[in-house]
Amino acid sequence: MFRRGLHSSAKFLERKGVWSDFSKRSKSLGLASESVKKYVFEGDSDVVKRLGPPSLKRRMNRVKYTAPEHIDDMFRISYEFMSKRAEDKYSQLEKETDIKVRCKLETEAELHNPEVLYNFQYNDKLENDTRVIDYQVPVYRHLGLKHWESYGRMLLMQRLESLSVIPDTLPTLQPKAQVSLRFPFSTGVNKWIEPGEILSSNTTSMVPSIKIQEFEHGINFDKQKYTVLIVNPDEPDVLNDSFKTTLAFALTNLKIDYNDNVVDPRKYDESQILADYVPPVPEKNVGKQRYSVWVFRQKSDLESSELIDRENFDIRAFADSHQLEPVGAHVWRSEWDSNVATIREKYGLPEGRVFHRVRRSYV
Amino acid sequence: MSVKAAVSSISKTINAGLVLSRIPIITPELNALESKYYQYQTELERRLMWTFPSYFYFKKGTLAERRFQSVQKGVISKQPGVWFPQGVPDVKHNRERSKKQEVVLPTDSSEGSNKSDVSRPIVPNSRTTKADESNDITSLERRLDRTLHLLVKDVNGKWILPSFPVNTESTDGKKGLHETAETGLRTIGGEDINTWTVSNVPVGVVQHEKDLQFLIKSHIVAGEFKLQDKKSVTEFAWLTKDEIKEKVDEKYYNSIQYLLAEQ
Amino acid sequence: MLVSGVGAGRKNVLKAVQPTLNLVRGKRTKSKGGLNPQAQRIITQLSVMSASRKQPKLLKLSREDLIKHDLIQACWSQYQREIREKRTEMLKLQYESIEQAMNILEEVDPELYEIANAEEPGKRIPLELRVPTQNPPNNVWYYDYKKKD
Repeated sequence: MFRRGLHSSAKFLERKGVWSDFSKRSKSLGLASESVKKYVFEGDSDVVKRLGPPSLKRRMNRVKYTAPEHIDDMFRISYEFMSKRAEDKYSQLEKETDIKVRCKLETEAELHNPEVLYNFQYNDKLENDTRVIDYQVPVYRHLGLKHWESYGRMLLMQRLESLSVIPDTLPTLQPKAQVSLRFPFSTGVNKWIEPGEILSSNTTSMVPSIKIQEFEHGINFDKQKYTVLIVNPDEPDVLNDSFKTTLAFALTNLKIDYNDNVVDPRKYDESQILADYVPPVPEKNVGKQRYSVWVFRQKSDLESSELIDRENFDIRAFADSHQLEPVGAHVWRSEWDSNVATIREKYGLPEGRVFHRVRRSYV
Repeated sequence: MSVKAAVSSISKTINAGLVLSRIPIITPELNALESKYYQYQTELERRLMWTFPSYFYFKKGTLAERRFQSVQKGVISKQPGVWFPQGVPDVKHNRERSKKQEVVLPTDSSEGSNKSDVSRPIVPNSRTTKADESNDITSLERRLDRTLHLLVKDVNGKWILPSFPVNTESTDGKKGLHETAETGLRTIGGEDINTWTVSNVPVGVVQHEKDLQFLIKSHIVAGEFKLQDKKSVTEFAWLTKDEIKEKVDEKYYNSIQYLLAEQ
Repeated sequence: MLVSGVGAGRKNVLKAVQPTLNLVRGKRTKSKGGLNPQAQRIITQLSVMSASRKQPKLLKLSREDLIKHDLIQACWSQYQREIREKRTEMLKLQYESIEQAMNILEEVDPELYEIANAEEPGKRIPLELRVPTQNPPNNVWYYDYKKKD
């Protein structure tokens, strides 16, 4: 038994090719766990077989498990075959200077690396640990984009369209960056919000943190800055017998990068806040109000000298005049509940109106 | 095609060449990747196979059923109060459902079997032949898994594809390139050869300094190439693409290599 | 005609299912339990086609094995793609070669070009050409071909 173990570990050490060389490649392209690594690359040695796959947590399930026959033979040949292709890509990469082409080649070289795929598939993609999923590395950005496109982006667009956030706020959106939203844990909802969710006024009573995940290759984050606007297009405008848009929150000149991109109060200071956060406090009987979050890429730094009319906010004019390019969006809904009064008191807001089915002429 | 190249070749003599090939007789050898992949897929397929319905093929209570059941490997069935570390057996129709089923057919061990019996075991012919062992390059029976092409050695001692001059001066209707090539082949290789010319259209042209060699593609179907006299052609050989590369000069090979079959 | 045919078919089925009175000495006329043999036979035949009780357990791969399987499939499709691309490239070269040859032939000898370009009605692949098999036949090659006049 001992001899066999020794033999197979010798085989493991022999593993060569670009995918096992970490002198130039990022550490995140390799498997972090030794036991998983051992199972993947030495699956046919007796010791590893007896222990079973480490991803199964219960020992009984590990003992019960049988791998498909000949999978390891075939895996070894495939690994050699594919890493040879990756080697070609890396040698092409050495001559290349254009950043976009370089990223594309690097992605292609690593796209079938089993260690990369394992890391990406079985780890948290949203709250990524940079030791396993590092979005600085092109292949993880590519995988992240594909993952987002496969569900998250479609869901977002469906919600934006069916809730008429587009065109009620901005005409349309070409989503490029994944925007995720969550509220502080103390408010009770400890999760990333799904677009279009109806949240209680208690949940939204504090400043949300917004994650802006960029997937595009070759963004210069030293220069690139972002603006975030949260607007509510459903404020009743009784005088005009219509609705108006109010600004709930505005941040500008935000600096992020591929990994460090959660915009929360630690990330910005007073000068970057265009408009303080006013929590959703819908009045009674106005129905559900859409709070749409818009994320823009800036062409240049934004001067925050001018005064913003928060009560009659024109988001289209604002975006046009500052040359803002919308790259991502999010939306949640709020409606009146028994807690609204408390929130209003906390933020020093006036008592809200109560709407009735029949309009009374107060004015 | 540029007109310039064509105009410069107007005074050259025309030859009809022949790419005569023997198509493979056996399927190509699998490489390591292919054979391992097929093996892996077969095992997966067996694991996911429906249980063999032996009750349909062997009637209950018959001798045939007894014989069949006696050669099957037994399965471990569930027992009350027994701990199964590999998981509790789930047997249906004599098959452990979480594993592949190995169906063993009873071998016919009755004494009456002899050579003429229809149920005698099949012995396949060898994939290599005598011609392979003796490396007889003039034999049609060599390298059965590859396409062979006919190559001849001309009077200058060069290996080329067989080539025949076209009679351009004849008055009463010219013979096409394919006819010239076919009759030419029979003058050097004998009449008893059955070939099938794919098309009248030449598949390619090799441009030499003094002449143009238009190539006609053809397959040998039956018969044999027997060298008639050694006046114009001194030797001939049936070669695979790799072997042709070694025999002919590089420039010639590059102008014809895409006409030769890979496998 | 059609209707009567259907009726006859049903009758046949009924005949097969219902026991007929056969007076054979020693033969069991009453089945031991439940169904009669003919009905049992039909059930057996139907059960061969049905999936119930014959399907294996679901194949559950561990995460590691799933990743291995994905790599194997990716490798295979890459391998197939390379073969395909090589073949396409060859075909492209061959097509261009034919085009070049015909262009030159048209220049040097229009008459031969006409003959080469003539239609060939009724041309077929000869039946004697074999499809490659796993092992060679007993007579590898047919040598005794005699020229037909």
